[in-house]
Amino acid sequence: MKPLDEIEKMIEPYEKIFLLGCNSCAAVCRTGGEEQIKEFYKKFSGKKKITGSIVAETPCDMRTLRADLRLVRKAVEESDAILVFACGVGVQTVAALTGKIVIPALNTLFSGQVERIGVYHELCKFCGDCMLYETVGICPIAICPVMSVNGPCEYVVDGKCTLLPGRECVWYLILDRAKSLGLLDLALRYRESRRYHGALSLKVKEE
Amino acid sequence: MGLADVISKKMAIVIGIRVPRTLKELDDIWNSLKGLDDKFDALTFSKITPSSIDPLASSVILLQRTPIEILYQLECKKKNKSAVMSEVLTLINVGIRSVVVSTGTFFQEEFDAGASVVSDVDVTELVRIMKTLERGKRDIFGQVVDFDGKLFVGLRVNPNNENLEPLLHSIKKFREVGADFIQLMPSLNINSIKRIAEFAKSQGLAVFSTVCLVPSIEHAESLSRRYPGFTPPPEFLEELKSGRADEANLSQISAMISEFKKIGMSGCIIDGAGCEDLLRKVITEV
Repeated sequence: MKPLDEIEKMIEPYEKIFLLGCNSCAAVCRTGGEEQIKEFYKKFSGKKKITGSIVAETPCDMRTLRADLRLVRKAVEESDAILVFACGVGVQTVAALTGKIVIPALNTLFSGQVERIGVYHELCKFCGDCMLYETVGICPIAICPVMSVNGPCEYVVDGKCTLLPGRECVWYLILDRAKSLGLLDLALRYRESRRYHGALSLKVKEE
Repeated sequence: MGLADVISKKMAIVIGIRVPRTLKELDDIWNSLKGLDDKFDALTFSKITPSSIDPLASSVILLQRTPIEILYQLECKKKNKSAVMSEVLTLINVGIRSVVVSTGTFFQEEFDAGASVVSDVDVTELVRIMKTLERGKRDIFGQVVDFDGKLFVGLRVNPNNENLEPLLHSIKKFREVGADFIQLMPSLNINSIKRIAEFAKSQGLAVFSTVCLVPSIEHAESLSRRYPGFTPPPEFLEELKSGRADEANLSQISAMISEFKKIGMSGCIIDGAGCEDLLRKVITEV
């Protein structure tokens, strides 16, 4: 969640606000579910006119969001801006479908593995060129701070990463697991760095 | 004479000085080392502050003043493939042939501030790129490169690890992509140094070791960030506290160098970056 004063600053110019939450990832992370929307409503209903709210099923999915928005069309139309409690994909989908001013209430960090509520791990960078078979299910692109795809770097001391203190070197983990699975030769293969899809080649997957 | 030739005759001595922040600083450092050029075979620049003159520019300026052998530290960090390629092309065009590839220096405050780490290539791939250029006369974009020389390329290995197996696998891979040598980072773990050196030599790689000068307790702390896992022994630190830095360094460096000679190292890098006055004394004596 963004700091409250930052949100207040962004919504300041607008009188009427609509609140839109996310019943998927943001609800799991407790940053954009029913509870958080209610909490925000309580805090701001005296300061701003809240025209309405909805916790959309999946704000990143145009199909379901379109259906959800139909239920609150009047309240959305009345608002000057929509405060969106979803990831960046959700915020942009809301903007595209409503044509309204959108204000992100969250800072999207990553799409991660849930260990428990409040503890999430970034394990995938969505590089579009998955090497997890060769690296026995551990991604060096996502976990290694220098993204070494060929082995441990010079910042490893006693098998630990000194750039991210407290973490095991991802390559020590990979080679250890590869050895136990009998896949050491596969893990030791030379590989080129991943070619990231940058801003000039936006990813669009079409059948 | 290039480093590759030197090591065929004797253990090469490379001195490490800091990348300066101004040209005047570069002049001052170089002037302080005047008259000692017969005491070392090559010079390398180490980055000790987040902002300084570009190390490549420093190398070029120095080469214009004196025909010195430079061991260039080529970092992967913060460069995309195009920037890496430009740096490599500049290196070969200004006559630098000896290069040690490293991930790059991380300054804690910079890293903590969330400075983004661009890692288009890792060290292994960068060596491969350089060696492909040497053999195939083409850069990674397929353009012809007018280059007939030989590159002497190495990578850093940190001996401060108990389990050396993953590092030995990497060394094998370094050889496969065409590396000529490894540079062992400073360590007091002689057993580890020996085992890595023996393995690297068995793979056909030359081995350079590194020792660093430690003029003060504060310097020791900054070194442990540049060279993870390196901590001077407590008795050495005691000597620093009692104001005997020169003697302590001289005896430590002499002991390490004689150990390296026994192991059969190809070269030794004496890193005096940030303490060039002490470096002058040490290379004069050692």
